[in-house]
Amino acid sequence: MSLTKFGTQVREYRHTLNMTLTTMASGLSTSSSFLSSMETGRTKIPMEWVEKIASFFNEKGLKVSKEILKALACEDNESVCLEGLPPHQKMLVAGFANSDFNHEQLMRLGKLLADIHGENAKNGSDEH
Amino acid sequence: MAATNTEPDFDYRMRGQRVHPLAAEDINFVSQRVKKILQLTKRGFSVKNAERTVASFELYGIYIDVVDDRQWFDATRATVDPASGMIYMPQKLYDQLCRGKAEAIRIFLHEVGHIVLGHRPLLHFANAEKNPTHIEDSEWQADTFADALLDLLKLPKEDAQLELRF
Repeated sequence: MSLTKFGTQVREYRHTLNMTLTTMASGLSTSSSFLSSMETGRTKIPMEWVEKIASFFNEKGLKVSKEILKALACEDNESVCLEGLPPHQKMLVAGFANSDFNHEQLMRLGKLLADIHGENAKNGSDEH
Repeated sequence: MAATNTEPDFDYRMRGQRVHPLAAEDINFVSQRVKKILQLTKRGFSVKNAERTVASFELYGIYIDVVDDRQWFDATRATVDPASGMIYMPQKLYDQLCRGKAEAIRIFLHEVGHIVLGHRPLLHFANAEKNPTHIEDSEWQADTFADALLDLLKLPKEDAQLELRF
């Protein structure tokens, strides 16, 4: 077992803040073993904890995207929670999960979505 | 008692897995390199700094997974997966390590030894007919590494037994 993608990111944030696992655990009123189990993939990562952790880092002055952390955690958990999503999003997620898109098609779709919603989207739309 | 490196110790009883032989001087050399590269100091393992020092090993791919004491069923005090660089230890031991306790530091460095000495079980031996010697014992090698590094750092190998002094 190695670090999960979520764990790698969280440990990087801690290093940036020069914060120890114990300090983070006590700041979140939990144990270092609980945090460690999420970071190493011994347990599934509960989504409410992803939110708590993202808020914790933001409170410490580090700009952390809740969405990115959640996406990493979902990938590690190998499951996506559909709870609370509007019906069309649920359909989209389920559709993608069961699609037979090949790697190349998914890459192209991913790039298209990134172009549409990415940081440079505004600049791009101004060009034409 | 351990035999010298040149003489076969026929009665040696392996404590760990049989690995490539490494003499004490080779292991001492590795411990010097680890101290230098990771910039380890005695102060780094003080109560104030120990946890940060331990976390700095992550920059070199050596991680600790802290396991809830109630979930720790292993008979050993800590264990390691050298292939992934992951050291597993119960919460209790991790807390002692963070408080700079000598025995916890020694156990941590012992597990680090398994990783930096590249321990992988040897399943096929060219000299399988010969008895293994202590220099082929992964446990002896990791102990030797930990003690060599503790000596270099001038750190104690055991916690002071304060109650015996009074």
